[in-house]
Amino acid sequence: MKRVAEGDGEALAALVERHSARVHAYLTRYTRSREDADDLLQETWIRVARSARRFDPAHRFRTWLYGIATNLGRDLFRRRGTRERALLDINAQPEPSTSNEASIAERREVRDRIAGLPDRMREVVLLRYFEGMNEAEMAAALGIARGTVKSRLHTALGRLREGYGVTG
Amino acid sequence: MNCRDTQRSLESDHERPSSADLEHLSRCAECTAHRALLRELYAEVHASVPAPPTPALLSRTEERARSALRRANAPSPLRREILLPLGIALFALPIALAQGWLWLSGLFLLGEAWLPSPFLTGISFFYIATVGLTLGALYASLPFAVAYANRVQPETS
Repeated sequence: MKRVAEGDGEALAALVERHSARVHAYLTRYTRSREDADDLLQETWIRVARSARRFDPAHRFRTWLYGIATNLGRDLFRRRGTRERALLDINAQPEPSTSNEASIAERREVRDRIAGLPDRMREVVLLRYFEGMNEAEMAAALGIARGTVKSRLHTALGRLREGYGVTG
Repeated sequence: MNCRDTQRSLESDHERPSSADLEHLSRCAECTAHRALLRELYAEVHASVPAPPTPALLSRTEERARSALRRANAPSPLRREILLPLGIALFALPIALAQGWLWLSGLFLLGEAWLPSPFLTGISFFYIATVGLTLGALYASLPFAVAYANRVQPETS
């Protein structure tokens, strides 16, 4: 990242190649639209390039990158408003690779529930379970306290659990 | 152990719950559902991976990011071109002031015998104000002149 901050295009290209697939997957899940994820992926890297000098090496690049991607996703939602988001095609999510129909239905239900969470809760669920971040990393990426991450995640899981036989 | 502790513990590791968690799970339907949800979440993670970005998208992304990096690291042409004329203009300032002082000194030296002092003071004030306003306008117009020369909108300077 130091080389990127100094203007090294090759170093930036290496980062793009290394991280884009996961960031794109995250954005696809977050926005529920592949087209939006395509746009936001490009915007994310443009912002990385523009802000490279401001990157604090004390932090992990990955958390910084996801923070940028998340902020761009939030900006997109803010511009569009809630109504349009509700109409986004949930089928943009990929189909599970398993052939078990019951399992497919369950996965679909989980996916729909995640998609139905408020943005702030969906962020923590995606970062924790899909991106494998720990609480400290999530806090750094989202710019919030660890305690807030914990409670937000717990509340999100509580909401997801509703309907799983027993409500919390 | 209460539900909150058990659920937090499961959120850290739902596959290998502690004996206390297991004991709690055996009698708590809510925490059992919580564990089932966590299993579903992880299953979903492994089952569905969105299609990776296309090579065309990656190529476009890389190209745009490189371009943004070049722009971010390029010295601002506007700043460069303003600093030089501004430096020259500031260098000219003491010369203009010295010239003004000479003019006024000469005016008093030659005119004192002929003209009343308040009249000379008035002329001096008028001269200083005119020179001051002219220099001020000149410096203020500098960024706009440079922007115009660069075909850049003045308001962006």
